[in-house]
Amino acid sequence: MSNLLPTRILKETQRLMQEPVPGISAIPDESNAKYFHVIILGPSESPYEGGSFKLELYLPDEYPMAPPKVRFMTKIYHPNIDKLGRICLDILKDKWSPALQIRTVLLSIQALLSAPNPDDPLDNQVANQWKINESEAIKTAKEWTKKYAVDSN
Amino acid sequence: MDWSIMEQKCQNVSSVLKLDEPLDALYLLKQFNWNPQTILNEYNKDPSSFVKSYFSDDNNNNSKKTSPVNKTSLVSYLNIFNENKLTSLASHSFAIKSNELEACCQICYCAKSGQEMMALEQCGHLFCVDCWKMHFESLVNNASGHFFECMQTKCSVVAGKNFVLECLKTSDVNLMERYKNLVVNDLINESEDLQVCPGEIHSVKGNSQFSTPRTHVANTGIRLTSTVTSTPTVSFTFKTESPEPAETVSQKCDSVVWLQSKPGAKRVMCTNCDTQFCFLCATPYHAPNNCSTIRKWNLKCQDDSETRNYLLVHTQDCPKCKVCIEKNGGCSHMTCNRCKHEFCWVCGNDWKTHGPTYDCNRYKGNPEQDTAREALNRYTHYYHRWINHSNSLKFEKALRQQCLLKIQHKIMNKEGGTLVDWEFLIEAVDVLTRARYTLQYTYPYAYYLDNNETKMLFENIQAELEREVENLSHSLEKVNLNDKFNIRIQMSIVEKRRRTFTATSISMTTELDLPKDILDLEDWSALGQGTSKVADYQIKMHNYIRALYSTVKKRV
Repeated sequence: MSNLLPTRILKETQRLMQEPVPGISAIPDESNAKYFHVIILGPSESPYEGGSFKLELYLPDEYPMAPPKVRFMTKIYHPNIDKLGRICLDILKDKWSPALQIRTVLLSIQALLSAPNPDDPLDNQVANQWKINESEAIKTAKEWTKKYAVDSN
Repeated sequence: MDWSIMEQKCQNVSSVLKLDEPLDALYLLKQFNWNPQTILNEYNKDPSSFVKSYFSDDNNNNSKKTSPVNKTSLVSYLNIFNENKLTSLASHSFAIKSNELEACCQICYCAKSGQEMMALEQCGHLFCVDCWKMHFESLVNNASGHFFECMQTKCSVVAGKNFVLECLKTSDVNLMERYKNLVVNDLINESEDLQVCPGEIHSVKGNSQFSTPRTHVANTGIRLTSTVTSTPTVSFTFKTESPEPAETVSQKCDSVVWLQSKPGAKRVMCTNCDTQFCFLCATPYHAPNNCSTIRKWNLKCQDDSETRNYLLVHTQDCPKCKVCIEKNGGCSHMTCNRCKHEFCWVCGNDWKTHGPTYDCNRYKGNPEQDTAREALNRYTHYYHRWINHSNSLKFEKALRQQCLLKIQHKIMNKEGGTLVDWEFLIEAVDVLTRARYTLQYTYPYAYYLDNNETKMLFENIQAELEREVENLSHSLEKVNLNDKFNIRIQMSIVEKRRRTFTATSISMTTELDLPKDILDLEDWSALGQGTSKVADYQIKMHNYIRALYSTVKKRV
């Protein structure tokens, strides 16, 4: 399979391994080069600081014409991420551009952790809590980080 | 679908803006509801601000890329300014290619020769032809609109149709067609003056001479008939076609009809398949109903007619709790599943009353009917008449053929009369057909009318028209030359009543004044003053109109 991989995916993978993005690691699966095991470290000065979050990333056959599919595996309290770990991010949907890369997608997700956007929610309950009582929400997010994202690694 | 209409629309823009070369004006057209005239008006109001807002400025190219048509192209086309560097762009307005000898495409990361790199003129983001192609293929397959943006992140420049087609030219032919369909569909949906003909073309099996769908432009093709005031025209040829042709196959007509007069709900006829339809909603012509009423009615008919039949034959409502019950055994002793009420399937009475005094064989009229069934009955009443007229219309089509044969027979065998003498017969069938058509469409209208004075008035006129239609229909069945005068009078009455009817029902809904030609009864006298029937009708007409006016006044 892997020798049929498009140049684009090969080069992207190479670069991800050679020059990794600070705070992000993405390693292709041994049996499937289009499936990546991703770990994003919680950005400093965010409620997710200190946690390391596992994600899965899959490149569909149409990639790069279609966006990669990304999902959080680690439980996280965030208004734009739902219980199943699905992410509400425009570039993963209608704002996808073939010029974007795995690297830029992961950077955007990292940025989303630093700046939650409760006005465009995926999980309504979390987003409401975020709007009504932000400090309480941040507290919960920190607790969840400690509970789910620190010990697991 | 017809791609040429797209080209024509774009050419229109170019000619309106007095451009030397056709502009890839897709985006511009879309912005102005596909109406070149609006573009011109906007442009004339303030040319410089028009150019500023709809054509990107070269200097600000990096800051704002939302306007996908390049100013430079317009400027060069319009010859407003004389800038040397612009002339080169005019030669290939849709794409620029890289001058570099070698480049790396930022999508597939492959090394490409400069010739393989393309960019949209407006933004200049270079990618290789293969990636552009894959990009558009993927977008066409997902088919959500046809405004395909540049591949660069956050670049919202829209690719023109020429660019897309250029990239797709090596793809599957179907894909290119699908793209064109996407564009034309959008064009038709958004344009007020375009509509797809809903008709069908029938042709004898084996002889597949379907004319290819094409666009009708007013001066060459389409005949436009205005709504109420169309004068009946007679056209008939002596072609001895059997009324029932051999096995036929039908294909959707799908011609695009381009209306050259003011758009709206009006009757148009497709010259490709001769189907008459309402231009606004592309369904069979439906006066006096408006488009939304007839849509509601058609939906109802689709939903209800089959179900209704089944319900009538197989079910009854429980006399106590009104739940709909289906009989699943032969015995008439029913027990309701919901309320456990026991009743007789035949008479609907409590089963307890059946004993020594069994009397459900006796007819006692319909006891109180429950509302749901009554609603159903009401609908059935109108639906039945609607279908009935629709069926009669089919017979009248055959009648026209029969009349043609009859006339031909009479003239050939010198049994009296010339072609001119017999002309009235065909005219009469046409009048009859038209009236029956109108009559058919009055039933959905009546169904949705509130039960009040207006409805009574409406039903009176409807009854009159129906009676005259049946009279004429009856007279036509055994007609000879001596009846010519009578038939002509009957025809006039039917036609007048039909027009009155459409006009009054339209004025009922819109609460407008009556059209003048209905009040103008002068021409009635010309029909034959001696005929008592006409005089009688005149009096009745006066009364109707007076009554109608008083209702209208009350409502105002």
